[in-house]
Amino acid sequence: MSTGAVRAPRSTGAYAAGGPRSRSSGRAGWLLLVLAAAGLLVVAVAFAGARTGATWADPLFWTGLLVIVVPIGFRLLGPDAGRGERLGLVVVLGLTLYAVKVLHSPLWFTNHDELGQYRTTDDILVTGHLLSVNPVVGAYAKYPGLESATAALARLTGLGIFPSGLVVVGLARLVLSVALFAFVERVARSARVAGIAALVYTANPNFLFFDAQYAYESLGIALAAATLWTTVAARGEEDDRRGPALGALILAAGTIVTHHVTSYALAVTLVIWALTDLVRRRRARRPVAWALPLVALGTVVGVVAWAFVAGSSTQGELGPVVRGAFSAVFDVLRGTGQSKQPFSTPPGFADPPLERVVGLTSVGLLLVTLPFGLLAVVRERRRHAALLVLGLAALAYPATLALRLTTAGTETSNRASEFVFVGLGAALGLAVLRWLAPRWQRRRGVRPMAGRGLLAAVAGLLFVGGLIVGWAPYARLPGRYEPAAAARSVEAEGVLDARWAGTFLPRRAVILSDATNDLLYAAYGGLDPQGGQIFGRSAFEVFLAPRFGKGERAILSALKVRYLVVDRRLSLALPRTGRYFGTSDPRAGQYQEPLEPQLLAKFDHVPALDRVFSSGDVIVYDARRVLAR
Amino acid sequence: MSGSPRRLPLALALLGVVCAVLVLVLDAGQPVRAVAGVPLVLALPGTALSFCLWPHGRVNGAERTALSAGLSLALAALTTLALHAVGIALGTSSWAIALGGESLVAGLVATARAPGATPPHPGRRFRLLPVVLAVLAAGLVGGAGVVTGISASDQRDSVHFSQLWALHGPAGTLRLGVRNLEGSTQRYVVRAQRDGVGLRVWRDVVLSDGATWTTTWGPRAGSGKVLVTLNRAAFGPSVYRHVDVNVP
Repeated sequence: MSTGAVRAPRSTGAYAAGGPRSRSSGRAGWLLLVLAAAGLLVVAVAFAGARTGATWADPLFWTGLLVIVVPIGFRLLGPDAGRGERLGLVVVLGLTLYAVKVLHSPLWFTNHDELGQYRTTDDILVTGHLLSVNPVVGAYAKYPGLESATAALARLTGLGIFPSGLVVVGLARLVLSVALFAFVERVARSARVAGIAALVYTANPNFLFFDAQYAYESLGIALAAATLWTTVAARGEEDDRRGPALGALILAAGTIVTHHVTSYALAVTLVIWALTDLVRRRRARRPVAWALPLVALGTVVGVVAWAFVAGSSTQGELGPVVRGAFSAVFDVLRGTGQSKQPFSTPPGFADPPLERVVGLTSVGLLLVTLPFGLLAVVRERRRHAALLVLGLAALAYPATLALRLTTAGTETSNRASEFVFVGLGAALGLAVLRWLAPRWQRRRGVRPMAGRGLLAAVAGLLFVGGLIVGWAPYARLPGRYEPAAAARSVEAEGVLDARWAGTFLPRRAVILSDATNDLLYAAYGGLDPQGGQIFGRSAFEVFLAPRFGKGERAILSALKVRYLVVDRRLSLALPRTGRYFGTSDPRAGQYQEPLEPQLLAKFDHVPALDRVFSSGDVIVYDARRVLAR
Repeated sequence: MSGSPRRLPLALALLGVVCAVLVLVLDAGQPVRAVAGVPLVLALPGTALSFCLWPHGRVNGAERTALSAGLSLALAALTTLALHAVGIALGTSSWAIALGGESLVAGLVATARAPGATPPHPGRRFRLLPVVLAVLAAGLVGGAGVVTGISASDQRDSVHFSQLWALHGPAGTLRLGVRNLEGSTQRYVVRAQRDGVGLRVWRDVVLSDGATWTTTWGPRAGSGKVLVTLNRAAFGPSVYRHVDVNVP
């Protein structure tokens, strides 16, 4: 009889956990499921309060999250749970936290990436073809894995894009939870380490919201984790490696057509792992296992091949971000650039001091414990060749923090966290098992329990701190409408107006508008928002100029803008995001006062502009007479 | 449970075909089609393939579920790409046939690869407590859903407004429209004028909440913009919305 391809590995020594069922195995897991559900209910009540502006919503939100995370963390840290219970708890944790995101925005997509990817999904359903042009981010259309699966589900079931997208991303979260656990378990040969790694992974700043949104990375990272899991399974298989290896290649191909950065990270991981494995086997005079090099080679070839299909869109999206990040860091190091204050906010807004303390403490805790994790990886490196790769990922954590010292590098740092935390989780899991578990095992009574309790509380603090570091305060809870406040700006009037445009305006007509309506009209209206620089000026000067003159006409003509979408509510408050308009907003981060209402009302007095639509707050102007001149 | 491990892959193959046929013959919007469509995209191709690649008994239940989901999602993406690459339009029939076909082929191969009879699993003793706790958890999650549904719907429905539009139609006509999103039935008056001279009035435009009124109208030729105003009868003569367009 063969060994199980993806079956639980043998746990040994101090790492033995998850083997035989423990005394309380099962009952505790079910109780924790109830507790997690109760935490979710608390979060739902907090969100309901936030929608009416209640001040108690914020503390209740954090309480609900801690009720979900800390008890499960306590159980995962301890030795009592069986392997099945640990896996179950990791799945419960992952899916409950996904449910938090769903409860945050239960009616429609509200985030930038979600609305941009909605557009590509809609394009697939409308045109029946892939690889169209996405006006929000070009790469969305060139990496259509998520949109393809969603469009197929929406078409075959008759469900809308929104519910279909929620189901697809929810399923991806399930895959991620199981795959991450199973991969680390194989590599560390301990279900306990795997459980702790999954717990630490939830503390990555993107776990709760960013990687739960309807966006290509949410699916890409799940497929990449499944690729690593099936690869490690194929490598360990003794009688038939073909099946798992083929499965790994299919999952890698799915990753490649779904998300660029994840596929690059996957390829690099597999190559380093394969080379490490090769060296180790040569030293030990063992035969080369072909499954791992095959999957690594296949992934690299696939990534390169797909880069040709995606063309310049990937470079267009990633190039400026990465170049900007690194040049900003070098500028700071050379003393020619300005470093960024942590927790810097646009004028008029400030983060609560307590949040800053918690955020910085969580980062500090990770930095302090990282050396112990790395030491544990070094000590245990003989367990598996992939441990070294996980150690390198963990080692990258301080480097990603350095990127946060600049404004341009913050996004790169944030995006790197979902990869870095895989290694960080495994390393810290090994450290706990190596340094703390033996002490707990030797002692009886209250002290080991207190130690685990303290560590579970630390896990809760890391989770809360990660969320504080990675997600803006105004975006964490739903709430009343605010202009230029990301998800808080997406509400019924804007959505229904954009849907009107989808029914009555010509598809792919070019519009010029603010950041929120750009996304809404692209997603629900099928229109193409325009922006950027033209004639040395930002296109959004059209809105900011005191009068609509020749220069503004020239901008509209040059950009072929057919419709101006003007949201009068922009004059109600300062922009939470620091800018009212797209990335080329000329006054980004400098707004001291809300926009003057006259700036937005000036279009009423332009004879060449037809005011063709009004819902009260949102006005649409037809600029075809401007284009005809 | 004892028995042949070949039954499940074979059942998956047949189920794939049944689901594909149901999706093809039933109209969109029918609940049965939704019930058939979900596994056709998210479960059957990947599960059948997982039995191909990891024959019966090599993976436990939770891992099989995750593998099946991951493979199904990857296959949905790659299948769509393959259809696009060979120039087949993406739609109900192409997706249903392709995904149903994959389930059938993978299921049949898995059936052929499946080992003979496996030893019976020891039966699990029924325990009441997990069932009670699972029901309790489901109730709490359901409660979270209800709280969210009520609060989010209330917030959405608290926004009341009406849409008015006037778009250029063919041959100098205007396509006028009003949509009532006030949360209750409204009686509107729509007026068109140019340079202060009334051109046309539409009285008694009565719309229930969510309803839309549209008409196509050809104003007389003239210079200056045509101003279209919307009044709510209950609020007197004050203009509620207005649009204005150049009509040659």
